[in-house]
Amino acid sequence: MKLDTQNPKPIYVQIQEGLEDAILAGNYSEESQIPSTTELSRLFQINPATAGKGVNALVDDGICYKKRGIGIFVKKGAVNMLKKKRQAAFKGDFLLPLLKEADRLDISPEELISWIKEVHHGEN
Amino acid sequence: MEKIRVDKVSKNFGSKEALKEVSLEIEEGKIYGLLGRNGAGKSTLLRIISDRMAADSGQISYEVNGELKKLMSGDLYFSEPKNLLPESMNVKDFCKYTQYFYPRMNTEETLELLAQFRIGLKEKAKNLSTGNYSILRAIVALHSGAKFIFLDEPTLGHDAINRELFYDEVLRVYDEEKTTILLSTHLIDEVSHLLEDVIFIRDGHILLNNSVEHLLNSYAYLTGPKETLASIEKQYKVLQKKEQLGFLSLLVERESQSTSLPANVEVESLGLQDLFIALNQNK
Repeated sequence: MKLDTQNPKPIYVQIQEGLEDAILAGNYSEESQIPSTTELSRLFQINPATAGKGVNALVDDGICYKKRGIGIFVKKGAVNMLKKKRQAAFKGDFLLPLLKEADRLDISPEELISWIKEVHHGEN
Repeated sequence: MEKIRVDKVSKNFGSKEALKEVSLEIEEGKIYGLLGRNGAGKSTLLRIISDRMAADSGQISYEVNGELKKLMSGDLYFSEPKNLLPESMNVKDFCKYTQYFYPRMNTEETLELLAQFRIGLKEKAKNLSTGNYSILRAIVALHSGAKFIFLDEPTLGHDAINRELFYDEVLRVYDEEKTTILLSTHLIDEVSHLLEDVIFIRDGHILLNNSVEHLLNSYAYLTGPKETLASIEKQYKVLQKKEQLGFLSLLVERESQSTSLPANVEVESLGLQDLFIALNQNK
């Protein structure tokens, strides 16, 4: 997990997304504990309130839950929830920019689809 | 809830107005940034709050749960670049001496930490390099046990490694002791992610005083073709106008982020440093 201080994206959002990525990748498995606000704040040298906001966003989204006095844990089913959430954002985050650039370069959607198939085959 | 309240404080040096009716509050449990250019009045303000200098007018008060209290010397530590203690004193004595005034200070821990920063305890203050002297005063300040710690230009002369260690220490003390820490500096990029609240000062005036989050949400860059921006410019308070490569870029204050904009106008958020520069360039 890395923070990009030049990125205009708010730091707490970067914390939230970084933790989400780690959960999706299985680095924090379901029912395991994620780093505390203090650990995140020290590691990235950010205000604890900022780190806390990122962690709380995961709790608010139902991805994680609080165990009183112990810490924050990944909920059962979190990976699936995150996949759904990211799938819903996929169009706006990846597809639209891709199509915009393709359009600028006169690459037709049909051509794009054939490229995707080509690359996908090549990788498998 | 404890807070220090500054009420309409003014200070003149001869004909120069250093502070003009400055009012603000410093609440417990936050990391504040007092940001301003050289000569903006940062140090004068901190000296007055910490009773090292008298204001010409105005008041400083200290409140605990709404009741007025006297701020004791052990409650507030102000560390400034200027020497406070005799230069012939060595590092160890510097720490011991400080403990007389700050009974909650943990001298042993302080000395251990100074060793980590590779500062010789027998060295005299006057023989320390600029960087090591500023480490000494920052570390002593952070371990003073005071409830309010003001650090004026704390990383003056620090190398990259010591700067990291220093910010680690700030966060540790803040977290473990629930201390209120105020960092006064002109190096904004360096501290911006550490801060919860920011006080911008310019020519003895407080320009802005708010949470970092609120400030960064309240301003944005709008970039687009000149004609398009000219048509919407009037809707905003514009802080900065830049023409770049045929495009116009406006730094604007905006009340809500949801107002719809023409499709060819891009919205970009900004950092504290950008805001600071824009505020200081404004008339």
